[in-house]
Amino acid sequence: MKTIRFIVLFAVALGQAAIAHAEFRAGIAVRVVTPEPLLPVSGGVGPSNPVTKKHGDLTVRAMVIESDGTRVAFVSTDFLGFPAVLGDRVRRQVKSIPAAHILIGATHTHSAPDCYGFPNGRGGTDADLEYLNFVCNKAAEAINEAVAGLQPASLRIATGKANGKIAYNYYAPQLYDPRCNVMQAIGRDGKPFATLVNYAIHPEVLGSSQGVLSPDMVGPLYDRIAAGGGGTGIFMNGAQGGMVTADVRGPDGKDVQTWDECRRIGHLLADEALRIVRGSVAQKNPKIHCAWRDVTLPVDSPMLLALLKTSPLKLAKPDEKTITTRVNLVHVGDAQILTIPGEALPNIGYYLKRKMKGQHNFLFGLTNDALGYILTKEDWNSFPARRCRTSATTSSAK
Amino acid sequence: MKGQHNFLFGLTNDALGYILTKEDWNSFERYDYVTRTSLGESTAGILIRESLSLVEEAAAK
Repeated sequence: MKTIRFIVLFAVALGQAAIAHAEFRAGIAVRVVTPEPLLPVSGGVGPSNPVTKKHGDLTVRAMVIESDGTRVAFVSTDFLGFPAVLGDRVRRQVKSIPAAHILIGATHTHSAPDCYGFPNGRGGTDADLEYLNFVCNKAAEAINEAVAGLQPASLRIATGKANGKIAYNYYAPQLYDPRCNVMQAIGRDGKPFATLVNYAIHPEVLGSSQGVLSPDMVGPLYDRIAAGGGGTGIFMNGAQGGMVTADVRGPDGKDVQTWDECRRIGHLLADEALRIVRGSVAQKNPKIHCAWRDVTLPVDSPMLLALLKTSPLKLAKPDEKTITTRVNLVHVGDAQILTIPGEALPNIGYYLKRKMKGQHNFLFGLTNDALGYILTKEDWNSFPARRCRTSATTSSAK
Repeated sequence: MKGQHNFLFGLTNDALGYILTKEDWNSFERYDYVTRTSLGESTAGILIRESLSLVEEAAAK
C-alpha cells in the first residue's frame, strides 16, 4: 500500500514539475469583438451615439507570461473603460491563472460601445448587456488561448521618449509624459511574436460623434507593429487623464479627426515603440512576481456615485459611498508594472514612476477598473477646465 | 480656508523659490526650471499642512 502511495505521490510531483515550467514562457492571443450589427458608441457619460460604419475592428488581446509556475495575464480591451464587474466575469472563465494575476485594461477608445451602463436620459441605458457578455467570453477565450500557446521566450524591455507629433495635453500642451515603455517577447527563432506598448494618450481622434465605430489610433498601431516585425501588438494605456490626448492639431488650428490621422498617429507610435525596444538586450529568463492590494476609496462625487449605483451592471454596493478596487504590482525581469484603476493625471504618473523601483517602470492606466479621473487633492475642484465631476473623490490619488 | 473672502499673500514673509506639489516636482520637462528653483519635493506638503492646521486652530477658538 505504501509503495502504491509513493508511486502516486511521485507521479503527482512529476506532473506538477511538468506544469510548472521553470523557464520563461509567453503567449498572446486576439479576439475580434466588433458588434454585428454595429452598436452605438460612447465617448463618456450620457447617451451613446449611433453609428453607420466602422474603421478597423474592436479587439480584446491577452498576453500571458509565465516563469517558475507564476503566471500573469495582461489583457487589453478596445473600450472607453472596462469596469471590474466585467473583468471579474472574464476572470471566472479562466481556470489556469489566479484571478488576481489577470490585469484587464481598456485602451480608452471613444468610438466603442458603452461598458459602464451610462444613463441615456430616457430612463435606461444604451449599453447592450448581451454584447458585454459576449465581450467577456471572448476576452476569456483570448486568455485561455494565450495560455495554450505559451512558448519559451526571452524578453526585451525598454523605455524611451516617443518622438514626433503623437500626444499633447489639451489643458496645457507640454504637460504630458512622452515616455513609452515597451515589452517584447522573442521566440526561440529570434523573432518577436508579441510587443506590449505602454503609453499615455486618449485615443479620441475620431471621437464618438462621427457615426463611426473604431479602435481609433490603436488599430493602426497594431497593424504597424505586425508589419514592422513586432508580432502581435497589445496596447496598455498610461496616466492619460486631464487631458492627455492625441495630437490632432492641424496647421490651421483645427483638429484633424479622420481615419488617416488615426493611421498617422498609430503608425508613428508603433514605429517609435519598435525603435525604442530595438537593440535592447533580451532578458533570458526574467523572473515574475505578482502582488496586489484591494483599496477602498470614498466616492465624494455625487455624479459618479449616481452613475455607479444606477448602472445595470451594479458597479457599486447600493448602501455605501465607497468602492473597493484592486491595484496590482508586477515585477518582470528588471521592470515593474503598477496598475491604476482609472484615469490618473500625468503628474501622478510622473510621481509614481519616480518612486517605483524598476529599471523600467510601467503604469497600466484604466486597468482592473474604470473609476473616472484621478487628481491630486490640490488639482481636484481647482481650475475650471478640470473635469472633477467625473472623478470619484478628493482622496483617490492619495 | 474659512473666510467669506479668502486672500492668499504669496511671496510674503520670505522668498523661498517655487513651491510645487510632490507630484509636480521633477515631473514634466516644462517643470525643470521651477523644480530646480524650489527648495525641494516636500515643501508644498509641509506648508499646506501647517497653514491649514493654523486655519483649523483659529476656527476652533
